[in-house]
Amino acid sequence: MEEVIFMEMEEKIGAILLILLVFSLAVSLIPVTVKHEAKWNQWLPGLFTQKGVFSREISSKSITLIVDFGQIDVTSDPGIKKPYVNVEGTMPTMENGHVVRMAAGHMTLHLPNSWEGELKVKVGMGALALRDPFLSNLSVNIGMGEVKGTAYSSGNMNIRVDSGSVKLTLNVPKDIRVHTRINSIEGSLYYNGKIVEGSMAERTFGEGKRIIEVNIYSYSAEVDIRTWRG
Amino acid sequence: MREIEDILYRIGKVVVSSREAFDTHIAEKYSSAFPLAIYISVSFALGSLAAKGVVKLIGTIPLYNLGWILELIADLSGVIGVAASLVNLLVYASLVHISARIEGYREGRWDDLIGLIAYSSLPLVFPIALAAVSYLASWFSLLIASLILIIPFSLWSLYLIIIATSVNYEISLGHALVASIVIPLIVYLIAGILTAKLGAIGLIITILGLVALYIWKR
Repeated sequence: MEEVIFMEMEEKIGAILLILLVFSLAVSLIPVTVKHEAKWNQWLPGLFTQKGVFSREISSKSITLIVDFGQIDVTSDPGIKKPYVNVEGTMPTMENGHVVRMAAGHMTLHLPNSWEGELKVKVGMGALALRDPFLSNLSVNIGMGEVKGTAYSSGNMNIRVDSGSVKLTLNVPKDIRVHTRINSIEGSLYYNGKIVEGSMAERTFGEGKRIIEVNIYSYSAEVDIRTWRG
Repeated sequence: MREIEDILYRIGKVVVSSREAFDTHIAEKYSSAFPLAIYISVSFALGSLAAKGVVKLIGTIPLYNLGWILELIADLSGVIGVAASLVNLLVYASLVHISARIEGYREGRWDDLIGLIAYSSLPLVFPIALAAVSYLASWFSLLIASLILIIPFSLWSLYLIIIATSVNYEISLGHALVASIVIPLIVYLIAGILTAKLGAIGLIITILGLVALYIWKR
């Protein structure tokens, strides 16, 4: 004889609740991943007490600045021979003499005139201000924020701001060709102060054998390429 | 099979007819182990999903240096949630029990109340399940909505606690409201003020005062 399974309303509600609870419990066991690169043991010594100001000279031709929340200023300083960095913030560290990290605060990188080096900048949320520095290569990654200012460049520039804007005046030597790619929803590309293209622009300017690449990815971008006699 | 049906019936009854469910729990002398298992599961899922949801929202910004701290907090959040909820359950149930005794009611057992308060966490399963779906689908607006929905469902849960107090101590809903909400709130307020002014001594004074009141009223 076939047994008929009959459930009362309370039992049905109970079954639904139990299924929802088991489902929620199972989902809550899935680990969450956050994009990061620092190791826990890197910060452990003096984790929540390390706060303050430090100033360090950097000999390397490649400098990396990594900040979670805050502002980075890169400035030209004709009075110095080697670059140096000033950090005012929480959890500041320096690795291998050229990677400077900070959780939150303000960082200023002073570069000598005509510095021939590579600069990498990574910011979670914040701003990068370029105050007329001389750079050969620049790579910028910002999650949310902006890049603004003026720079002198003789090498490639890759700037990515996932949510935010780029407002940049870029001075390049006259004998170099510049291949510019702008990938923005709102954008304007200028050459020597005159507008030449809107958003999603890809243009090559100048004459010369050597070519440099300028790639911009952001929500809005305003880039002015200016030729400079050097 | 009969046992499973009985368990499902008891869970469903808490939502459909909570007074009857609590009455049966006390009359049949059911163990508090099952409602405690529900309470621990709800606490784990709530703590874990709330923390992981917030971390996932913040995680849209790359945190190069602090990301590992967020991951660590999120991974431990379930266990932290359970520990905090169990402490809260013990402290709160004791407060309600003492409040009922202060009001002069002699009926009702503390361990039964623990089981009934644990059962009262059941309505929270709905927003938690919604949070689980949105977490799984990375649907941020739904995740925020489900975290907000925890507030009204907590009020439902609080209403069940008032009924549980009323059933356990055989008192009216009004007196149950005083015993389960008003007096514990006043005690938390006094404890907060005294602890802020005197530190740990303030907390000890509050506990000693409560114990003295309880013994005097017994």
